Amino acid sequence: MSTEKRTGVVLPERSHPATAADLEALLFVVDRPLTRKEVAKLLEVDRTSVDRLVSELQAHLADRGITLLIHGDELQLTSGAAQARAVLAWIGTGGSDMTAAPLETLTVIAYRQPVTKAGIEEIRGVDADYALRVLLERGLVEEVDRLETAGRPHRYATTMEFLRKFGLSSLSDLPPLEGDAASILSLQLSDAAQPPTDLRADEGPATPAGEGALAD
Amino acid sequence: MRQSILAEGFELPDPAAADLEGVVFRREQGGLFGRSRSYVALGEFSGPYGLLLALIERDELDVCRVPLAPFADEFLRFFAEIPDDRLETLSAFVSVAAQLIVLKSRALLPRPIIHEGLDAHDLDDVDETVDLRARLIRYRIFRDAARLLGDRLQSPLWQREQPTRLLPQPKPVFSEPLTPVISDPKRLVRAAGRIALRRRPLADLALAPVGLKVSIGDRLSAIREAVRQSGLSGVDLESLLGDRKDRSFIAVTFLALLELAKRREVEVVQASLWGPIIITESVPEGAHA
Repeated sequence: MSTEKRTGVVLPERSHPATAADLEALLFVVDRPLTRKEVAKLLEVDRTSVDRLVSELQAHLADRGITLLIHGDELQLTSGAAQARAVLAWIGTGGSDMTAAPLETLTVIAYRQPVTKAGIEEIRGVDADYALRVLLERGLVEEVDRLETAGRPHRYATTMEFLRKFGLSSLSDLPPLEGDAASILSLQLSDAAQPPTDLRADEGPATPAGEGALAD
Repeated sequence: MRQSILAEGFELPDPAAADLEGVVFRREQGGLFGRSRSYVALGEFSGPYGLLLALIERDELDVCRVPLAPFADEFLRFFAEIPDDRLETLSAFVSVAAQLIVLKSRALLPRPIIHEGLDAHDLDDVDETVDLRARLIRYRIFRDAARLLGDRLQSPLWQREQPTRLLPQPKPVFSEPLTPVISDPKRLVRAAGRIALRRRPLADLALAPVGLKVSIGDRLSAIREAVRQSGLSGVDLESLLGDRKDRSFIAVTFLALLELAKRREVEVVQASLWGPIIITESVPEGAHA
């Protein structure tokens, strides 16, 4: 017995329900990020099952040299951050570098995404035009939507490339903010400060209804 | 009053510590009381909060407690030398500088006596200090996070390489592998002859007249010779052209004539309209004498 897919490829009959190993094999072979929807279709499972398989695979890869990169809805297998040195021997190029202004801007976006340019400038206290341009050109951030307010400014969020470049398997891997973030609340900040929004592991950038109160 | 401000940290200590990351310190003589003063310049631009924090942290002071007013002078000193002349950048510094100046000016005045029941918000300096301090602390949180994040740039993740898309293999010219033929030279000659016979005949080419080339050099020589032979009477241009009536020959001859006239080798005279153009050899200067 065999299953014929729409593409005409004859598949062997499924001998077991889709497993995390199936997901691993699929992501290993495909040389681009796959969306959860694509995974669901290819493994012939529903979205809930995909989420379960993703969690299982994440746990399975915890001590491995490869890691499951999760950016919003996209999934991809990559080398682990701890294996950077080993892989460098083959890749032949080292890690990149970044000056303070774009790095600080990127950090604000990473922790406060989605955030407007004004929101970034509010935190850094300086114009963010140049830094944003650099980050957009390097594909580390992207415009995700517009804030439904006067002027409908763009809101920015980090990309999958950002996770790769900074050795993060997901946004939940971001280092915790130093210092007592709650201490901001004890200070009377004119723009009604709030602590950074929690970023959940497998749901990509947090998307609150409005922009982070810290930012605007 | 002045002393009290100094006591609050206006006179920043001489920084023996190494320069902060992204910030360059330099020293100047002739500060207050002739002391050596240190100033800060941002080697790498990170904004007014970055500068103010650098000033505070250079002295290992706690941003949560240190009075901010004493840093106004230092801040303004840097502001005067800021290399970035963009309006957006300057305005960001002006904003912070203005807050510091307000704080400093109020610090110079006697503190108001706080009566019971006075709204705390009436104390603007308190509010502004708190606001600026809160912004500094908030900025510091993100700045420190940026430094941690920056360290991670050395440990990126790599995805699988895209497989190289190979070009399709070229179609083989010979269906069977070639094997060397052992043969004598005479057979090769005969084979070459047969190939030569199979050569397609050349297409018949249409015969067409080819115009004679005329060069200025040739016409220069011809004119010189004709002029020399004609002596004092000179030579008519018509005779130089002879029977040739094609335009290129006439044009080249005329160009050659102009060239000789320019070089003052010949003199060209046309006595009347449409009259003959007579060319004679130039008389060298001084010959008349």
